[in-house]
Amino acid sequence: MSLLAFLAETAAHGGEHGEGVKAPFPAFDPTWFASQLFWLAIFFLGLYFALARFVLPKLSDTLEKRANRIAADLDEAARLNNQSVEAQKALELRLAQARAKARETGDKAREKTEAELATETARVDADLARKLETAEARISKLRADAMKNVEQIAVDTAEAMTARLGVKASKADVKKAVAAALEKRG
Amino acid sequence: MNLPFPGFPPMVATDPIHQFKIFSLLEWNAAGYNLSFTNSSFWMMVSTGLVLTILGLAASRGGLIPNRLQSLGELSYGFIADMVRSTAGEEGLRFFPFVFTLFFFILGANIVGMFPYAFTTTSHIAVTGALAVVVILIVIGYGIYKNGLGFFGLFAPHGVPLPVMFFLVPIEIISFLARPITLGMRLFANMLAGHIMLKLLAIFVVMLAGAGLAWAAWVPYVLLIPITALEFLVAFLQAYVFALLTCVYLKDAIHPSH
Repeated sequence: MSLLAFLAETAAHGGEHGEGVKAPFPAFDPTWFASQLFWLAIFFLGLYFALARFVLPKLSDTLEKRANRIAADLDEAARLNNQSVEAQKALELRLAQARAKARETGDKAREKTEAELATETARVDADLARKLETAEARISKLRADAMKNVEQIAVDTAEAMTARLGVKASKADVKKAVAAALEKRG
Repeated sequence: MNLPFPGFPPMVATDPIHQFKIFSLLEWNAAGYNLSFTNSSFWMMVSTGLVLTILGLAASRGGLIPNRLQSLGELSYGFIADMVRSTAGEEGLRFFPFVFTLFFFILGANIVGMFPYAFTTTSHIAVTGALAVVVILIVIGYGIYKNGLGFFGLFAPHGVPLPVMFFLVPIEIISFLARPITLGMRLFANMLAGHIMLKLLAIFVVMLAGAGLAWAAWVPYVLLIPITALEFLVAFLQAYVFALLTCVYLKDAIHPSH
């Protein structure tokens, strides 16, 4: 305060040169107090009502609207995210199902092929066995036929030999002897 | 040159106090009071009009995505609302429009006063003192309305022994009564001192240059630049301090117990 008083003093002296009147320091001059207070009341209250009635509600309204919008957008984003997660899950499920089905189909196909292969093998085996049998039968028949021919040849040979040797032998005897010899050899 | 040497009439611009003089623009006497529309009234009208125009334009857009001006309005809103909420609590928000108006009224007056030829309405004790008194009256009024006689518990801190009370209560009362004085005086003195300092430096430049010491005039001239910036900071800071202390005092009205 003493500084202010000093300033007021010097200002009053310095500022009022030549007039010779000691005017009060302007900031403390009571001449204008009523006017200052009156116009302060007018402008301050005017500003207060204008701000409180129009400006601030509008600002808070805008801020609230934006906050609501952001919250709503976040909710929407969360909802869409959930949706995508669900879709992902469904996709994985479908994929797993498809894989299982593919495996099943493959298994079935393999089983079927194996079964077919087995029956075919069996059929071929049976066929072969049958063919083998007939072949064996033919072979044994051929052998038997051959043996019969051998006997005939032996008889013919023996007859010719006996005839050459001059031994008299009936055909029946020769035959019998050959038969016996063959019998002996087994 | 019209220089303030003895014998010469003083130049108006070389009087650091001249800027605080009030003069009537429109004479008006009502009920025995001088309610003239003065230069102070005019610049108060300019500052409040400017504040209202800027904030009004900022608010009127109301876009979902704010532009710069709208951001300014919304940041101001958030700034003051946060200050009120953090200082005076949720209940203090009922005084939010008042604190908001207070802050922007003072800020507008301080900033407008920074421009040459403008008048700084907040450099007068009648204005700042009246604002401070209004704040304290609201604090006392709401304190008693809200807490009844419990409001006076503000002067008697809890858990203090009775003998100490005899000393403490008067101290508390004095400190409470000092609030409007310090509140009004702080703003007034800051604006007054700042403007005097700026003016003195500017006068120094003119005087030195006028005395043919142009090289020396550079010193106060360069000094003026940071001090002008500082005064802009003070203009904001004093508005903030005034609003913040208002919130602190309102907190006492809402919760008087220490």
